[in-house]
Order: sequence, then C-alpha cells, then structure tokens
Amino acid sequence: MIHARIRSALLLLALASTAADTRAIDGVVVIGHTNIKRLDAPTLARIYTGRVIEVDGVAVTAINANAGSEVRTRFLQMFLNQDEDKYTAYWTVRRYIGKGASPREMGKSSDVIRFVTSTPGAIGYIDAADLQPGLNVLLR
Amino acid sequence: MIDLGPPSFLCCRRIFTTMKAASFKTGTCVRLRSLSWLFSLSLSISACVVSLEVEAADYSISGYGTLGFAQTDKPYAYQRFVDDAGTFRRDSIAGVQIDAVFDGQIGATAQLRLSPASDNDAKYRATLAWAFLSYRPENDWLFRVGRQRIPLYLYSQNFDVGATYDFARLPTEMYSISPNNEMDGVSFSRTWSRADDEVVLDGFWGRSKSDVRIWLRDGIAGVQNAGSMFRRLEADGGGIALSYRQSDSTFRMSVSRVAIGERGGNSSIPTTFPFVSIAPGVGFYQVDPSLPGPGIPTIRKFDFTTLTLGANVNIGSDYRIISEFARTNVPETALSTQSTRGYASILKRIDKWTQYVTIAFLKSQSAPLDLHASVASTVVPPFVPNAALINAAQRIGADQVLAFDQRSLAIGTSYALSPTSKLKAELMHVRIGQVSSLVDAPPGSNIRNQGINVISLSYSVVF
Repeated sequence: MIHARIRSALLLLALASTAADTRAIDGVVVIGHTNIKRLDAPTLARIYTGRVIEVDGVAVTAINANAGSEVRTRFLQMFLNQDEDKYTAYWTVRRYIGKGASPREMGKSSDVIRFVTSTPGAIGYIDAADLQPGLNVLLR
Repeated sequence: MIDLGPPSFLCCRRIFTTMKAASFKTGTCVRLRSLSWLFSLSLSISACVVSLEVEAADYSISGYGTLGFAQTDKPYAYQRFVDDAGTFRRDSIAGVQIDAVFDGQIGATAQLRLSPASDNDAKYRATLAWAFLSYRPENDWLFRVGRQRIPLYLYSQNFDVGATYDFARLPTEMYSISPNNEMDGVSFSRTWSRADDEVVLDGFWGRSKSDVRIWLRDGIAGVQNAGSMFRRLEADGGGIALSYRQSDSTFRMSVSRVAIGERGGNSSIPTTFPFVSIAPGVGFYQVDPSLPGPGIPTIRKFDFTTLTLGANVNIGSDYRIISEFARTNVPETALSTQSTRGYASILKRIDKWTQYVTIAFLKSQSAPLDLHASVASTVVPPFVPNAALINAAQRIGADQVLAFDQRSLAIGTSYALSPTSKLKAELMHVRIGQVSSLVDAPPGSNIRNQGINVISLSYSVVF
C-alpha cells in the first residue's frame, strides 16, 4: 500500500516535471515574416550568431528582445544553449573583429510582431502568451 | 598605427556624418587628396551608395577603452614607454566604432582610435583604424574594400580591444611583427560550414604605411641626436589565412608576403654595412655614406615574408591553451626583422576569474644578430683620425639594426566585472640575451643579459 502511494507520488512528480518542461519549451515562440518557411534550431542559432544571413535565398533580419529580459534569457537558453553573459561576450568579440553588430533589440512583443509582419525576411521571438492567430510560427 | 593627415579626418567626418543620418540624400562624392586609391575607392563606393538614397536598415555605435598602467624595475624604457617611473601610455587606448548595414548584404564599418602616435613618443593621436565597406552576397562569402586589419594573428582584429581577451597585454614578442597592422586594400573570406565545425579561408591584398621606431642610445653632437627616430615605410602585398574552428577551439595559419620600401622620395634601404679595414685587425663598418668606404649597398624595396601558426584550444575543465608562432623571412637585408617568435599560454577559468601563465620568445636570425654584434663591438684606436666620431657612428649604426633576442615569462589574471568589462593584472619577467630593439638601451651602455620585471594593471571596457 505504502509502495503504491510512493509510486503514485513519484508518477505525479514526474508528470508535473514533464508539464513544467513543456511549459518552458512552449514559453518562447519564434515567428517570422510570411516569406520565411519553418526553421530548424541549428539554422536559427546560426542566424542569431550572425553566421547565416539568408535562408532559402531570403535575406533574414533577426530581432532580439532587450538584453536581460526574461523572454530573451529563455530564448538563448532554449535555442542557443547560452546565457546572457556568453551571448553578449560573443557579439562583443564579433563586432570588434569586424563581423557586424548583434541583432537589433525591441522591448515589446507588439513591436516585434509589427516589425516581423511588415518586414520581409524578419525573424523574431515572443512569449508564447503573446502569440496571436495568423502569425507565421517558425519554431517553438 | 598610421600617420593620417587632414584628408583622413575628412573621411572620418564623412563616415560619421553619413552613418548618423537615418536616410541619406547626399549626391556629392567627397574629394580625397592623398590617401591611397583603394581607400578612395571604398569611400567613393560609399558615396555612391549614399547617393542612391539607400536607407541604412540598421546602424550602431560602440566604443572601447583600456586604462592601463605598467611599470618596470629599470630606469630605461621597455616597449617605448615603460620604465621604473610607471606609465599609462603603453597600454591605454580608446576607440569608437560605427557599423551600418544596408539591405542586409552591404555594410560599412569605421573605427576611430586614440593611441600613442606611431611617429612621436610624446603625442597621442587619433587615427582611422578601420574604414571599409563589406559585401556579403550569401552566407559563406564576405568581401571587403577599404582600410582593414591584416589577418596575421589570432587576435589581429581585436587586439586593441582588451575586454575581448584575458591577457593584460598580448605577448609583444609575437604581436610586434609590424608596427602597423592596418592596410588599405581588398579582402575576401570564404566559409565552409558543417554542423559542428567550419573552415574559413581569408585572402587580402593591400598597401600599408608604418613608422618603424629606432632607438639611438648615443648621438653625435651636431650630427645626430640620441633618442628615438622613425623610419617611414610603406608596404604592398597580400596573403592568405586558413582557419579551422570546431566547437570552442580555433586553429589557424597564414602566409603573407609584402614588398617594403621607404615612403616619400627615393627609397634607399641598406642591405648591410661593409667593413673598412685600416690596418690588420683594425677597421670599422661604413654605417653612413659620409664615412670612408666602398659605399653602402642599398635596395629600393625588400620582400618580407611571414608565416604564422596559431591555436586556441579548449582542453576541458575550463582550461584553455593559446599559442602562436611566427617566422619572418627577409633575405635581402640584414637590417630588418628576420626572426622567429611565439608564445604559449595556459589559461584556467574559475567563475569570473581567469588565470594564465605565458612564455614567449623572440629571436632574430643570425644575420641581423651577427651584424649588430659586430658593429656594436667595433672600436677603432685613438690614433686613427676622427676615432671618436667613427666609434660613435658604430654605435648608431648598430642601433639601426633591428635585432631581437629575448624571452619572457608572465603570470596574470583577469576578472570579468561584466561581459563587457575586465580588470587585469600581470607580472612578467623579461630576459634579454644579446640585444632587443624593444628596449631603449641607456646611453653608453647596452642591455645584454639583463632582466626586466614588468607589472601591469588595467581596466578594459566596451560599450
């Protein structure tokens, strides 16, 4: 009886953990202009590290959330496997080896959505809670 | 460091002005007076881009700076400025950079740097370190035209930006191949990417100007002052660099070849100093055309070939090994820097701290070292007419031979205050062998077999 309860408790814990993981993965949604098809995670990482500037012949313009914001922290962790310090340091070096500047930053999800929907080739990410119908979801 | 006249500042103002504007409606190309044709070309292209009323999709301004203090335990200067009085001049530097991107494929970058003048020990000077247009037609190709950095070293592009590496100072033994590391020219970069690694081939061709500093420990009254003098040189040529990057490690090699001559007027570079025998066992070197002798053989230009190897390897457990090696070959003159040089460092990161130990060496090949030793040790006896003058000329002649024989051991640490700022400290012991042109030898003396201890403290930031 006791063993059964323990098993049930562990199962519940496992399910709760899985649910929490799912929420974390769903926490950030990558959106893009309608002229961009779905992306895979490695390509997305290369875009946000400046190593890819076009996808399937379409020039891409990446948008970042503000440095230190929660959504950016989650994005970096999920898709680039980096933290803010490493990412900032990466772009600091990249800028000063003449390989360009980090993606432009926008503070609000509404600004990201407006820019992405109106700019061909634009890519951004938003909190899943801000996702609106009709947006072109590239990765989540 | 390049000696820029007013035209360069004109260019700089133009780039700053154009990049600050949100839209560009200028149709007049700036007339450039005396910069190299490639630099003119890049700015002309820039002006044309501007005249087409292309809007800058994005532009950004950033800056960097290092406030560095260094002090030795010797009264004479090491690396131009550092002596027992201490100085901020050796390591303090500041710069501002503008990056602009037009339509995703065309970009422009300009960097203005404030640092000690390359041709004057007393002055600071603002120089245009970078001013190039870049064109990236696809992910794997990058073309640049304009003033840019020569890709000689692992840290060629960012060695002015102390916040981007942990060393208090990049090893001078390695990073002193050329007094100037910028060129006006063209370059390409081709990348082959795979899932976990990439290969990059860089090629460049261009022209550069530099001021080679020579320290004369003794002068001749009314003829030549003691102290620093600067030889104005120009170089043109090119090279390639091949890099392999895997995960967090980089391996690279480069080969370059340039032709170097004096700029302005007729270039006349001595290849050696002929020995003039007066009597058995008595003689001197003709180090100046005014001294009697057969004449100093000269050439208009000489070839300077450089081979570099480098590696920056993550060996796990937050340990990293960084090492570079270079061989310079200058077969046509014994007065120039034909040498072997390099360093090896091991670094350990612990949270925000990074500790390192570096050993470095720089040794000229036998031709310049032997010529220096022979000329420096030549003394004619007093019975020879003008003996004092000839002997003083010998010391001046020896000092004009760029000869190096030194090694160093450094321990240091950096502390990352943030991703964009670092505090650094380093203790270094330099051991001089026969001679080193990195040291300002005291009057009437030499620095053979001397040791120099250097302490360095610095704060570096980018913003």
